[in-house]
Amino acid sequence: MSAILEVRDLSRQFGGFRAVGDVGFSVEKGSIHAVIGPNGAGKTTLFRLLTGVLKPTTGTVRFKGQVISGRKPNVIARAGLVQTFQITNIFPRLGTLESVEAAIMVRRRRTYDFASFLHSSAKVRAEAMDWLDRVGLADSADAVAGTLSHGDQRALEVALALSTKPELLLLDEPTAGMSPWETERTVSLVQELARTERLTVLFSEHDTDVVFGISDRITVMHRGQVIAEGTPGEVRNNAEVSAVYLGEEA
Amino acid sequence: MAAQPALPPVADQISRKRDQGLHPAVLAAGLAVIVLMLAAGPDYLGQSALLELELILGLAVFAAATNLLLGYGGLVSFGQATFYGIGAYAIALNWMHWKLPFWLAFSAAPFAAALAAFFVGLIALRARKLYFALLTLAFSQLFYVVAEQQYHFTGGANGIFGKMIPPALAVPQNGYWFILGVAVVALLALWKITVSPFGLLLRATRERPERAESLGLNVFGHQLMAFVLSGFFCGLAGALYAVYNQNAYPELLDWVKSGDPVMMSVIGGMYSFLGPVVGAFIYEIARQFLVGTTRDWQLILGVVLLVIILFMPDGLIGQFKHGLPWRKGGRK
Amino acid sequence: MNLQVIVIEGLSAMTTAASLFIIAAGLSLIFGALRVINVAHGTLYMYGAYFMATLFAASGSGWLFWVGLLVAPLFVAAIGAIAEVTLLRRVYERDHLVQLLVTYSLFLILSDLALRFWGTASLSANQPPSLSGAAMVGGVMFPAYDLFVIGCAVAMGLALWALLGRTMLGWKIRAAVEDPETLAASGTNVKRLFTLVFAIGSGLAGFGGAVIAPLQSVDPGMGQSVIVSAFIVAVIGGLGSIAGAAIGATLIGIVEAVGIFYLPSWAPAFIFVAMIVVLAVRPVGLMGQKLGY
Repeated sequence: MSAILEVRDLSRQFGGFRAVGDVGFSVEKGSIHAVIGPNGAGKTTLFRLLTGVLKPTTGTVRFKGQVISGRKPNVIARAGLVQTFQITNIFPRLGTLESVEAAIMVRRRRTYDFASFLHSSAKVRAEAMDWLDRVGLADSADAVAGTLSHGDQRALEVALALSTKPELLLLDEPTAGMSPWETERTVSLVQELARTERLTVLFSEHDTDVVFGISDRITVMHRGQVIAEGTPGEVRNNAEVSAVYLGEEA
Repeated sequence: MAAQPALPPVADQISRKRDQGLHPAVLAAGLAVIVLMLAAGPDYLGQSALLELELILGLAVFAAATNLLLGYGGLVSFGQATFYGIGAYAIALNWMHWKLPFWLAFSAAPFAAALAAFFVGLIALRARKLYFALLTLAFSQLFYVVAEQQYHFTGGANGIFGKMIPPALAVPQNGYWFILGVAVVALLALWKITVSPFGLLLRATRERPERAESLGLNVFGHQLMAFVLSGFFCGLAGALYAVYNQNAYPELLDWVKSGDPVMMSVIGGMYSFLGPVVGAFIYEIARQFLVGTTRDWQLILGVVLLVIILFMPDGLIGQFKHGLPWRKGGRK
Repeated sequence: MNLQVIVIEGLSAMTTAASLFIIAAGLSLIFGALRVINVAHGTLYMYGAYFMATLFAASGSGWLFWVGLLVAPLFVAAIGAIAEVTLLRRVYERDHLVQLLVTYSLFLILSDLALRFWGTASLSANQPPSLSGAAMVGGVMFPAYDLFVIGCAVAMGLALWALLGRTMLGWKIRAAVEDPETLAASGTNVKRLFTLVFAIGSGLAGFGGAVIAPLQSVDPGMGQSVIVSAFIVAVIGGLGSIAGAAIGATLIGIVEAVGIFYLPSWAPAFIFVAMIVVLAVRPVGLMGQKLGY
């Protein structure tokens, strides 16, 4: 096993507020790694730092051995680190199938292709259809994406990210707003991809059942800092973690 | 934490079902018939009608090129007249100063406009939304005042008049066919761009630029390419204007002129390729008619524009696709 | 260049800056609260100028100038309020292109109506006797009316600063963008607030037109050309910021004065170059904040 992602001393300051402070952890290739923590723990900020949407104040992120912190989001995505968003972020007025085709076109570096007709590209269409099928959206291929139900939009969100064939997939609360069976379908898809495509998954999640059920490793954040890391068993028995969670729920 | 970007209101959306327009084959056949009828125009149309069509065909290209940014890219440019004007000036200035063959100038005109668009886009696309619109407007005015002030080079406020086209094109029928031919080819090329992978990704950047970026797309590069392509075809439209009117003058460059293709697109419908083309025909024919019959052309235009914006957000073509409101009980 | 030339050039630049600020302030105020760019703002300014010129055509006496200065803003504010209630109110939720086009339609309609009422000939308004002539400033003679314009701009700037920073209404206007939830929770009638802001902004345009009318000829094209300068000033300063509009106006006043002095034939291009340079460096203007949409 080797680390595909190494985060070292990562911090991000917003004015006087330290959203992420000296965070360090690494993600093993092919693993499913969770980041958990109460609301406002800095998970989303951390993800935005990893994908280049935000620039870190200090610290470095290495992906496949290369320093990626400070690079542009599209460059990082091209390198194979792709995320889904906590707040559904799809292309509302594009077709469902079209949306996935768009993502595939980016991956195939056909962004400046003026010559071919979109509708004659059978290969791309078939692949897009296949992704929709895997997330359970095959029946909605012709629908306008913005008109899908919330759960289906979440699924499309996942399909968009997967169709770029990332090596490391960042899922920011992927099951937020999903029904139990939609959650189950997403979780099993993630597990299957991790197994068959050697996909590495880093995800943040509120639903602790999901986290402890599928993660190989868990990093716990609180107030912008890492307070614990380990296997699900280790984390479950960590006193500080319990305190944080109980404290929040009290 | 990022706030949820507001979803566009339903009124701004494309149809929720698949487009209910004509079948593509029917549409293609219909368009072919229209082009053939236009080509046969000299047989049954008078001189003034042909001249009017020459103007409209150029404007149709201008509007469709502007709509590549507006409807497909979601980029509101109030500066496309910059490139339209450059296209016309390229021919006029060549005739006045450099005396290279007309055909060379005509071929170079869209490239000159595209080059200008590259530099304008490089700066303007750094700004977002309204600032982008106002920045393109500033460029439009910049070229306008330069053309107006540099009297010795550009002829100042009066512009450049003269026999700047070859005798063969000065024959009315030839000029008409030439403009028709170039316009049809240009529109086909623009349409091809919109249905290519490039066009799809352009629409994706319109929807959620940051999402497109997170999938690995270089959004700035994509938008810049769209801006250059739009500038190229706006320049070509301007060159067609010079063929039609044999002059170039500063008002071709200013912000009010830049507003024209935007209005044509909105009237016809900016979410369909033919919308701006239809809009150009309606706008120009209505303008000709109203200018001849009433003093209040601007008033009527303003009111019509308001009605379309408020009640037909997808323009006339959109209205046609969605079905007429009294027949289908409104858009759902 | 001797001192006198510097003083005169400086005062000319200040006069230009003052008239630009008077136009841009209302535009920026409206944008600050409503997030709408009013393309018809220049036309409203033109209505103020026409109002003043019409008053002078009716009677040349000096005291009417002061009446005009008071009534023109109210007249234009009323037009603005009507436009807001009938049109703009419908499109706040729509995207900015729609809003731009609605105000553009308003620009077309108001321009056409102005033609109908006042015709194509250019009118003029005279300076009141008490402000015509010259005054001594820093050892040079300078037109008294120009100094009055500068004074008006300063007074307007101070009044806006006091309004926005020191009154309840000002708090509400700022909250309309920064904190809409609190605003709604405070029981404010947001609809009425927006109408009021639009009316105030329009009134400022009318006031500007009335003040500037005696300095130039009043003709149907003035709305169309002045709106571009207003955009530039407001954008350089940062849309929505009154202080920014003051800075932008001063910057443009200086750029234009320097341009006319050294390179007269290129001077009109300078203000566009200034805007392009500022936005290339700071895409939201000098004092602007990132638009949250």
